[in-house]
Amino acid sequence: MKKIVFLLAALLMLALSCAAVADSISMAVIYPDTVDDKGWCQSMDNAIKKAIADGYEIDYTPVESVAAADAPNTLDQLAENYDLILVHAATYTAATIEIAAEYPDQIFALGTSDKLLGENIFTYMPMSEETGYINGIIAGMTTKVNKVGIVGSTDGGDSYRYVRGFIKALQETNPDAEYMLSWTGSYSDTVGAGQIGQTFIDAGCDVLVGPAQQAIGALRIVDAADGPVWIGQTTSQLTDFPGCVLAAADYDYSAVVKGVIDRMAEGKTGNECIPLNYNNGGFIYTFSENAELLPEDVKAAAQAAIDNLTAAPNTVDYNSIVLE
Amino acid sequence: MLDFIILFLTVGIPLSSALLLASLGETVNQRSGVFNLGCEGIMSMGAFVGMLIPFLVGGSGKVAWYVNLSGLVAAAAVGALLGLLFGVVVIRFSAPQGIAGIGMQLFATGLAGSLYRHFIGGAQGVAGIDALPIPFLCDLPIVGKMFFSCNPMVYFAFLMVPVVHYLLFKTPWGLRVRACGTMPRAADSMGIDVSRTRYQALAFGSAMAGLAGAYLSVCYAKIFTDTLIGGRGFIAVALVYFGRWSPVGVLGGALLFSLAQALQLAVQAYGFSSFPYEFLVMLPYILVVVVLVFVGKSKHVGPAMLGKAFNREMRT
Repeated sequence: MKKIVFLLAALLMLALSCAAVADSISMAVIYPDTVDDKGWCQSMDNAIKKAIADGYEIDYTPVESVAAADAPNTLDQLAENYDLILVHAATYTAATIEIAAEYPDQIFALGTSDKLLGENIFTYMPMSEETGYINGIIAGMTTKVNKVGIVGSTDGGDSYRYVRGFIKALQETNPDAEYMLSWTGSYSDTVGAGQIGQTFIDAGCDVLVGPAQQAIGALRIVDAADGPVWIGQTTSQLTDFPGCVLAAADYDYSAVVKGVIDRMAEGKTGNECIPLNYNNGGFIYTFSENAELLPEDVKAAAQAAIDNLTAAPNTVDYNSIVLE
Repeated sequence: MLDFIILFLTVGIPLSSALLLASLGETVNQRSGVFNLGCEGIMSMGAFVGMLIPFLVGGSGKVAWYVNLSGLVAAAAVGALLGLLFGVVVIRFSAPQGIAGIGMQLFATGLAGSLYRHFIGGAQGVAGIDALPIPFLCDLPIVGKMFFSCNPMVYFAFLMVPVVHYLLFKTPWGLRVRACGTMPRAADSMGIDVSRTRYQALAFGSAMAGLAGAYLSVCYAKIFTDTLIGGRGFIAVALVYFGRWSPVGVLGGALLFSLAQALQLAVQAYGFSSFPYEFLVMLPYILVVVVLVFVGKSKHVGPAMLGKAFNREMRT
């Protein structure tokens, strides 16, 4: 009798574990860089782990440092084995559209893009003009020489939005402030970003900003110089360089990850863009605790702007900005 | 306008150092008859090893000068070892140098990235080596900031120009190196060990490439990433042709490329141009290609046996 009870209990446990596995979503994510880059890729990796911690059952497989040329082959292999393939770079867009068409039953999520790309493709787009806007307010209020430097990556995607959102707020907050802008033409040219940072400092800029993972190169130059400050785009910049970083906005992609999975549970398969903004908790803004670096009135103005954007998303008219 | 000129010169000169070190090294091994397209990968390994030692000792904080120096020496040593490994492939086994160089580039770049993630990980940096202003000279107007407020490795790189020139053209070893690149069979008949000389030149050239990488990670960006070198190794190889295998010519090429790079950034920053920035980013590379076209017509000829394996038992 004991043996039968034991056998039944074992079968029950097996059945339960199988059910649990069946409920979980197998998800592969392809990254252009490593998941510990303290930037773009790490933000998504952290978001997926956060979603898992919040109770989402995800069987997560990261595929790192995938070159754009290898994307079609990588996606082809992943599509065979995963329920959801998240493609975390716009450089893989063409490959994603091509492979998604070959696997209509698999679901893909591609970022960053705000376009509708297919019945089985979700897209996601950080509304980076919102983080740029907040950084622009802080830059406009803290520059003492009215000269601000923007270390650009490429003029596309969320970087396009960030730069224009930043300039809009800078001009609204401090009409006397001038900005200098240079692009490296890459997201990962750390040395080039450093060179631009040095150019801006030598030209007299006292506040610098920059999107993309390459920004660390410029940030190190700012940190080494005595005087200029940086407004960052990931919280780790704030913790690693507390002496020169005024504030930083983190991207919390868990809003995207959860959004895709929730929609899949509702039976949706794609053809929708999921935004990342203050309103859905996609951006988390952190201020420096150092009052000498960041005065209370500046912090209050930035916080008020965040509250406004949380209440009324997509209200920064970044397209009205024409670069000089 | 003067401010603008000073600005781009001040930014451009330090960055020429990495190209200069790598190109000077490549000049030596090309003079011996071996071109090393793996320079990019060796620079990447040098960048990793150069920052590994200071990072292991002091993390991202300040460390004693000799710890940073140890990192630079280790970078040069690892570069030399990789050069010798490349030598085994192309000298001992007579593999085609171009293909073997691409293999070395892929191998060393991948190895550096893997080791970095194993030993360090993330986007960690080091305090590295700071600028060393030369007393009195650094206070000179205009030139003080440009030339005398640089990182010690910048001074070292520029000092290496006459050193390498002396080595190549004023020493018996330099004569042997040049003989092995121009007429290895004649050199062999004179009792020169061609293979050994080529190994020595490769070790020297690759050590310089390792140092060039370490300059970027320890002195300039003070961080390592998989893409830190960003094609500078390939540019360094091109600059050797640009400089017609002469250290002074290579210096001119490294300065021209770096200043063009700094110029395009400054033009962007000051908004002088209405061109799309993509054209400005391309400018230094276009310049190198254009100059190479004209330099190719120069009367100065390169090492006649560059890229050709030497086998003393064969007539070719």
